Amino acid sequence: MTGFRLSPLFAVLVLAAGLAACGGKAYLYEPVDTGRFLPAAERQADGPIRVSAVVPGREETARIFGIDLYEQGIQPVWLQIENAGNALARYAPVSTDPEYFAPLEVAYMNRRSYSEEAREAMNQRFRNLAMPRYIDAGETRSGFVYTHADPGAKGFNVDVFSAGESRYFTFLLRVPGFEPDYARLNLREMYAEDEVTALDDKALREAIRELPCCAADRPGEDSGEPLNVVLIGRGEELLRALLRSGWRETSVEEAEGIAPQYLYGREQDAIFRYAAAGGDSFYELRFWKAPFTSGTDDVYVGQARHFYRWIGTVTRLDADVDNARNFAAQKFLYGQTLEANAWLAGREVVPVTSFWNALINTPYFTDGYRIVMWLSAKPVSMLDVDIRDWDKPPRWIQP
Amino acid sequence: MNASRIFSPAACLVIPLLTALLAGCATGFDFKPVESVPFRERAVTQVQDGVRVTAAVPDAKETRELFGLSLYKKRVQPVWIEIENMTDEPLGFLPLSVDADYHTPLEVASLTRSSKKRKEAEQQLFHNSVNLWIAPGQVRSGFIFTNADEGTKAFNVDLFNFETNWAFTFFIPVPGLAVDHYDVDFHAIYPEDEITHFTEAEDFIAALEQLPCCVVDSNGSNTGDPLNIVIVGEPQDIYYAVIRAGWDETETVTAASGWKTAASFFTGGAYRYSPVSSLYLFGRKQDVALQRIRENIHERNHFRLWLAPMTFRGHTVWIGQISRDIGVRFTTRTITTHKIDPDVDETREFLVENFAYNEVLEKFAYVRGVGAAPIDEPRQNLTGDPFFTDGLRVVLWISSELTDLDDIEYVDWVSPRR
Repeated sequence: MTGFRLSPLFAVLVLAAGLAACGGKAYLYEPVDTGRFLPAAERQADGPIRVSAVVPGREETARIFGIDLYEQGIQPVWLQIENAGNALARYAPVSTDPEYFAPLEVAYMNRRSYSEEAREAMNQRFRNLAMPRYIDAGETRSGFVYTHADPGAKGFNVDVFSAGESRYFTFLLRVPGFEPDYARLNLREMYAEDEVTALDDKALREAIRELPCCAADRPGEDSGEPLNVVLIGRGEELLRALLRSGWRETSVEEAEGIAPQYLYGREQDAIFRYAAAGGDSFYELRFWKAPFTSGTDDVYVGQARHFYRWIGTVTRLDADVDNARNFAAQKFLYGQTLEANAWLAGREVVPVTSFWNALINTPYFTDGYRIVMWLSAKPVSMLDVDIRDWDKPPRWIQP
Repeated sequence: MNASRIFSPAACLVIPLLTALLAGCATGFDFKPVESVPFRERAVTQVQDGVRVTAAVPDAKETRELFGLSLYKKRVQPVWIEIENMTDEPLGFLPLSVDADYHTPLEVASLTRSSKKRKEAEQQLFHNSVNLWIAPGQVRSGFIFTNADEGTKAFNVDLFNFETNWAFTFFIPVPGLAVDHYDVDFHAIYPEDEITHFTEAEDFIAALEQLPCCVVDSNGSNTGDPLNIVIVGEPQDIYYAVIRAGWDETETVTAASGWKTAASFFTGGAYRYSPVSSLYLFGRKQDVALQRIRENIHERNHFRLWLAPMTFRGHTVWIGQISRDIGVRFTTRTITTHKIDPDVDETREFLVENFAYNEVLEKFAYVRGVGAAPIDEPRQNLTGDPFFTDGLRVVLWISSELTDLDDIEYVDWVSPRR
């Protein structure tokens, strides 16, 4: 089996693979029309190994498998691996999704209401279209890996092992049918060239120090929550780093349901979220592109906050915004995307006592520090993270 | 309104009402000093390069005594950590190392509905949570609120300063979950003269290939799932490896007598839930039963191991069976609950990668012994599920050191590609 190719035999649009037998429906699907999604495939090569990857959208997937897999949280990723080397190569599906679905598992999950013949056809379909693990020397193989669906951009790895060599490919693919909130903006040309200042390390430190303490609830007002994180990186690298660290994009529709905050006279450019296991709490990063750069790297000024379930579907801001900031930093650290970080003492300290003081009753408390993080799309070992000597890190005082 | 974010406008009306209702029947928060509940008798201490970390995990009852809240019922498990910094530099603690989805003190306090009690809970929990910075010479302690694990609590404690970092790994048994006891004394399983010690690969391969192909039922008359996993290593290393790779011993009840060391895991082996019938080999039930709950869906992989009457180059040898449940979530009247993936090789290879990516696999190889069953001539397990296989067993070497993906050795005994 070498995956599937476009063939004139597939001119027939609909194949009835399973005939309706007593007590069950037939399994109907369309042939894989790689011509429809292959042009969108991204290709990468490393030595003798070449990998192409594409993520068919919901409708394309439903056509190929005859079942709306996206609805079940399953997103097949199509891979093609070419082994031009002299030794057997092994692809590891867990690199693409540590909890991938096995082909026959997906078929089994969908067997309900189908006839016996249809079930058999379904088993064969999912198995025949699965990406195999082994690619012989000189061989090209292709197929699907059944992954968990990501709502936004699909970031994943394809690790291939051969003759004692490991090759790691990282893909970031757009999925048809999902528009992230920042797609409404042209981030690259957000500022005119003469509006952007390229800063050196010292000037950058001062520029970040001079930022207002907080975003605003409304344009022109200064009543929002602290701007406690700054992300530095280059365009798409930043996006890769965010996704690799477990943050998920917010769609345009979702973003419309979230109360905006304001900086630089506009609402946030993007919102990313991380939902904690169990679904009772989530962390949120929202940020604004700054009108200055660090050398040639973009600078994004942002907020890290944590919300937990309060009553029913109502969530509550975790008053300990410093925890959210520290959590975000660790998320990048453990996601191996943190290249360097630095701390800056901030402009506004809100003591924990004013949160509990019935008269003041602030919605949050903070040590006022900001963390500045240089992010990388390539893995950075935890041991190699550079802690820059700006301000001393915040020190929790024993209460 | 800054403090609460509302997704549904209707909730504006509902909250005050609900709050009023819940306040009446809320469980009371009532924090007691850590000293008053003796859970720290089970504390484990580790010291590395000038840093001491002591950790202890209160069980469900002790947690209720400490906090006045049934946190375990909410799947929240407090872990008490004390860090002593004996170096000359400030030390930073990374709570994400303990649990990537830890709960914050204020989040936990929100479980208390009475607003007066809640404020007290917020303050107490916040002030008793672990500190992130430990000054030179300082000792700091507190709780971190993790997601509950049953059985052994396995976690890391990572610390750093500007030059270096520390990584501690703890395995702390949490009592109170044992329901049924079934002791297996591994030292008594085989008399010394029944154990064969292999040093030559050839002899070892031959012995592995002669082991039974499959498990059998209790009277030994029917054969079932293929025995396609062989593990070589020290019991304690294997135990660390499976826990690190996300397997848990929920189904296994550890003997009450064996808490003292992590290796004691291998002295116990009863089912907590008996979710599947026991499988047999060497005339006895599996010695170890593990399960791995997969993310987002309520599906599990089951993994059973038996100690084999042999050693290879001084290490114990285990033989096992692994299956991927594929039918739990979609059970209907006509579908049994523990349908397994018939592609047992797929599940076997998943285990290889599961170990490799958790850096616990030192090397691996394949041997024969299961007997091939092509897809169009499947064999059947004891519950009548079909399976097909290339007939190979994978041999996994587990070491006490973590092995980087790049450094895993493939030993070419039998090629997995025919």
